[in-house]
Amino acid sequence: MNLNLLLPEIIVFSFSLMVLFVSLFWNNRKPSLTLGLMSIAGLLLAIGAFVVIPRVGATAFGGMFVADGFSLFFRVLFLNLAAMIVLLAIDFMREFQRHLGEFYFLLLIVALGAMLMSSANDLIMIFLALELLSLPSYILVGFAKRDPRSNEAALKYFLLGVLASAMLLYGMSLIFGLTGSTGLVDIASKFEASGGSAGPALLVAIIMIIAGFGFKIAAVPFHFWSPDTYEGAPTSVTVLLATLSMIGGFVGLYRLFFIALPDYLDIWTKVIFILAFLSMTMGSLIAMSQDNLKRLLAYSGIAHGGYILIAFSVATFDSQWSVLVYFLAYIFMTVGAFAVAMVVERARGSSEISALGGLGYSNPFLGVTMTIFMMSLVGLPPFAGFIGKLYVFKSAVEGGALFLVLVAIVTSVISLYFYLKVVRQIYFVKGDGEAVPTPNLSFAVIALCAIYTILICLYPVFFTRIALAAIS
Amino acid sequence: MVADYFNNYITLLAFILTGMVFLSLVLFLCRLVAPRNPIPDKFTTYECGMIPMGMYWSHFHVRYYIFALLFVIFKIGTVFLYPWAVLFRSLGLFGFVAIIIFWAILFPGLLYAWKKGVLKWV
Repeated sequence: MNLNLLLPEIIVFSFSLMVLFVSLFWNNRKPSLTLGLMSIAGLLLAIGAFVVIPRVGATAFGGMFVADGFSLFFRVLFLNLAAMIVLLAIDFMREFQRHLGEFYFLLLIVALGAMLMSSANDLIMIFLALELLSLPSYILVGFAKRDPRSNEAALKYFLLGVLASAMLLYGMSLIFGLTGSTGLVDIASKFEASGGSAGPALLVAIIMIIAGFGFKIAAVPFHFWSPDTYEGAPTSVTVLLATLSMIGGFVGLYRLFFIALPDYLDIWTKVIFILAFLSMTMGSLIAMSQDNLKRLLAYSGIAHGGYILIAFSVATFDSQWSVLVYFLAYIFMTVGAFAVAMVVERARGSSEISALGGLGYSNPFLGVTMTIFMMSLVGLPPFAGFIGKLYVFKSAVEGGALFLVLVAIVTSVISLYFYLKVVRQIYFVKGDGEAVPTPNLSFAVIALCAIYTILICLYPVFFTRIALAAIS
Repeated sequence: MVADYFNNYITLLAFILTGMVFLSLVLFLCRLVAPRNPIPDKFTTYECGMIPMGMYWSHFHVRYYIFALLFVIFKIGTVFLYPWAVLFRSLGLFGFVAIIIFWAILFPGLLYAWKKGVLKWV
């Protein structure tokens, strides 16, 4: 057995346990900083471990776990993403005096679940990875346990999440019933041998699976939990939901459909087509009336999920690598926007958009970076969002999905309104003029995100090459 | 293939139908045969005659749930430790190392609960 393929996962898991037990036995004065730095050390060590393990094509656990280019891309991506989220959380978790060890432990476990998801090559593995991703996030959402809104958010997320998991599992059991196998490659070959006629059971299975993952990626009409949960959760956790958890869902969707069900491409792309259309339009339209920055970003996340689903619905080779570029762009601009929101929320005690008033003058750095992130989320050049949308839309037009691209362009124009509403608040509204103190670590994360947001647009070749290598 | 798939469930359907028919039949027979003598004592909560106190809709302290979780640790420990102890001689060194690894996995859970002060009833 190739246990060394799982070296990064093993490192992350050991560090998560270490963080938990260090927090029990070591009472120091700055628990958030020490535990956070320990988590980051584990994540960086796990990234370093990729040098040691063989690159491609190897499997472990009887083919349940595969280390291909795709999984390499996403495992490294998730590790980096988790490191950024931990860096952000260090400053903001200080106010929670208790249970800090548990916070970082659960955060690392979420990262572990996402990593396993990107290497999963078996229905069981996909389901376990999804649960490993979901269960800690239910707890994390309710982490501010004295705050009733946090409790409400956690309960909503939990109840709907369990429902979605059950549906997913039901869909998977139907696929198992049809093929008698849980291995993704095996399923694909069994379906190919059976001649490719889709019965009602397979249709039900596909819809159930899309419903299960649709919850995780907050695609309309499975998005109802997302705005309430994003608003109620501590913002350090909201970042996690909007990036790690959401992309984890997309990765599972990709694995299952592209590897196990390529023969039924014309069926599931149609279902995803509907999801993409609804997500883009509903996400953008409802976001227009939002006054809360976290809710706004939740609806913006739904809309971006719609743009990503375009690529899934087209399902050509080009759309597959361009969606990876989109993920890269999405991560940096979303983490950046949430980081600014966190800094402002802590200083002004509110996550309403009106709390951003006059930020451009009282704190030019935050004002400029937030403007960059908002422009990037709209998809304007010269920022990352433009490159992401450009490649996805281009591949979609070439793949014959002109209608979706037209809808996407119209909703992008609509999204200009609500993203610019934030920018207007920063520059054209007089605030109380009070400076917003930026903690050092958050400053570093915001700066990094802003740099990458620009860099992806200025030098896209580097990032597209990585994405291409991951897919082929 | 799909037809095969659903045919497998015919047995299940037969089981469900048999169960439903059997249940209603037995209940019906019971009603037919059993003597009925309703006296007030028969309708109290406990058959031993104890009179219940307070509301049945009372809250349990959340600590009981934690005890239930801890109980799982101890129970799993016992379930594996006891057969191992009985066969200690024949299992030898391999069994000893295996049980050490098993406890290395189980024990941190207990350690965590202990350090978190769960074992103390304040």
